[in-house]
Amino acid sequence: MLSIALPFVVAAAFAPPVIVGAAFPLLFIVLVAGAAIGLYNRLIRDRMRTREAWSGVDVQLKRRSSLIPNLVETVQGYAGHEREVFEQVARSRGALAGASGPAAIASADQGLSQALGRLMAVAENYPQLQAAGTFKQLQDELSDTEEKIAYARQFYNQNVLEYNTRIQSFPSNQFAKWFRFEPVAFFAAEESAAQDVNVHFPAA
Amino acid sequence: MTTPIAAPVLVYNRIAQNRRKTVVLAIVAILLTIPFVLGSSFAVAEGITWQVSRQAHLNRFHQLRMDRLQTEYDDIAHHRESPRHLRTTMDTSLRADLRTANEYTGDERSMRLEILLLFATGLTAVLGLLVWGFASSPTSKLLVMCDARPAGNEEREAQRILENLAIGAGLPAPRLYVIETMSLNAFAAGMTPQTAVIAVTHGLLALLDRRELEGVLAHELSHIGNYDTRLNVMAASFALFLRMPYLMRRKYRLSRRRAGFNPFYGRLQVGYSLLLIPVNIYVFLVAPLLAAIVRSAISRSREFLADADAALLTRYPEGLMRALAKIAGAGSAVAAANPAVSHLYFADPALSGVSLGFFSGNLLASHPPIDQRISRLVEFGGPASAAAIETAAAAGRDFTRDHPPIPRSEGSAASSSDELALVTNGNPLGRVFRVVSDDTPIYDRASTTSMVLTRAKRGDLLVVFDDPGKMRQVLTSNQTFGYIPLSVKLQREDMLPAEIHTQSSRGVLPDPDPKAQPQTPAGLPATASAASGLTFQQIALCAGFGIMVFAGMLIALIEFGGK
Repeated sequence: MLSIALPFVVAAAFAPPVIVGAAFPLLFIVLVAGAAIGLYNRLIRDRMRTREAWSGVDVQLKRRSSLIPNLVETVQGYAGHEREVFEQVARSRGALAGASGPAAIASADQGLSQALGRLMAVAENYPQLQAAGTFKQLQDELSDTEEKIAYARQFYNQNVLEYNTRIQSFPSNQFAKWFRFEPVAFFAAEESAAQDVNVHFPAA
Repeated sequence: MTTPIAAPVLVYNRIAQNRRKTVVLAIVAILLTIPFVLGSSFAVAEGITWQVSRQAHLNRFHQLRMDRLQTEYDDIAHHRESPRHLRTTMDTSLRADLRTANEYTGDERSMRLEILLLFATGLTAVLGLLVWGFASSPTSKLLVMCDARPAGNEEREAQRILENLAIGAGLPAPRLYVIETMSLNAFAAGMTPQTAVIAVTHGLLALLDRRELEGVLAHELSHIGNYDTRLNVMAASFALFLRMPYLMRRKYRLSRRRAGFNPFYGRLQVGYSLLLIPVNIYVFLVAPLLAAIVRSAISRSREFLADADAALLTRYPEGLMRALAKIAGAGSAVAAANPAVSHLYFADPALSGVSLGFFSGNLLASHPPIDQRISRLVEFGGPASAAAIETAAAAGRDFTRDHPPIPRSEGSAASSSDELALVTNGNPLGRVFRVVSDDTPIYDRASTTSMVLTRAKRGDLLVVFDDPGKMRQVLTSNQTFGYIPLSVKLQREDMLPAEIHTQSSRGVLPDPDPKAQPQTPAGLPATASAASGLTFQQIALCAGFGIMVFAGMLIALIEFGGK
């Protein structure tokens, strides 16, 4: 540590006092500029991370969407008359495709999860469906994808938390105002989370 | 943001607290090193100066005595003093002369200072080499030491869990390995998340249910995400550096059956500098002890941090709690674990007789005691019912009773329990060779009947390890570890093992003339410095050492040569 100060001490011994006196404000300015650059870069980095996390969520949502046609077709083969359920699935899938922005997508995602839950509940009534191996595989993949969505969503929300906290904390909130850093929305459904879920148990 | 953890604030606080603790410990480690380096450099400089100036001091002493005797003789001759009086002052005058003679002149002091600076620089370079050595040890070697195999179809569930957890943590999914033993433990290794691996014992996969396995994997993943292996490598190399004189002296003592601590050892001459006693005490007693304590403290605080991060990741601390309870009930001993890498494990891998008694909860334990870990998790998640933990512990005990750990086979690599062994055991880093015979398959185990992992083409670079056996252990440039038959012809390449992974160093062996011998591959298209095998770093290091040695000799000669 002392060795860093050594050149300064040596220089101070040789340079006239005027220059040494002028060095201090200069040093201060350099330090402040460095801190400012660091803060700005950290804001940028946090915002980029939220975007990257969002793309992770998007990937998992798309993965689930691509599973759905296959699933619907398989169930339709055995339970074709249960129109209402299939229509609900198609509707919520459309809603998800049309939604934009984390909050809207979150509620659309919730709707789709519920529709899929009903679809699975309906499929429980048809044992022939269970016997076919493909349905079990699709069911496993669906539950795996739901889990992946949950984790991706958790990661996204964590990054958004960090970013939002930083743009509202003291030194950085000034920067956020000047450079127009907007807060990002959490992946959370807008309306109340608890809705009626109809669970039908097959009469044993 | 909704989180189901009962007291979320505590988790974040605990995480921040552990990070602060790590920073403080790292600063303490550095502060320990500075007096160590300065002290040992001073000891060496003092020793050398003392030796070198002994003759001059003796001459000076002789001269002073002659002069004094001359004056005394003169005094007696002129009746200024009586012989009896002079005899009483003989002692004090002798000591005064001795002291004057043994004082260092200005030249000698400056020589001592220069040697001190030189040696301090050299020691810092040694520390750098240790860090480099630890850091470039391939992960695969550690996996081989534990007989780990890549996870297969039976462990698909565990792989899936790991993949999902990695999505939650925002890390690339580490590769999963399985250790074929019924003991209960897991470890994570790898310097960066991209090259990280997690190894789990077969017993752990059998005993834990889904939520508990999630907790354990989340804990290991948190280690990887927090770069704990890198931190522990630095801590281990600092600790080894500070302990080196103590360990070497202990080895010397054990090999020669000497006992006792003699500060004047090897220095039983008149005028040994008393300044060196506190230095020796620090270098040989205090620093090694404090280094071991700091290393273990860092390791323990990172364990708590990984537990907290795992709770945050899974949002279900009870899973990890139950897993810990099961492991506590069963015992986590892993046979033949080297103490220097014990921090990589999930729970203390020391043998059960030692771990539950003396070392657990001790200053030197690499892991905190399990009940403390469980109680900290309880703080996060709200008290899980005591019954759940008790059942889990009972399940663990039953498991060990039903599945006693299989003793390791003799064929597996022996690991010694000495930390110095990591540095001195053959060449743990391996040496680089180039394949000059035809394409060879690389096998999964040490037999040609096992699975072929990949093929090594002619001209490929391989890192070959020193362990003798029926087949050679190699590591390819794609970080694949495997075995090749002894019949494969190899040619030594003058490179460091870490370099085979960089693109520029992979030269292409030109097609050999069937008539010519494949002696030196001429005309390698790679850049000159990389192909010659000496990187700029190496050249700088060797040049630095050479300059230091020559400068030291020159200084000693000039200061003390032609007077």
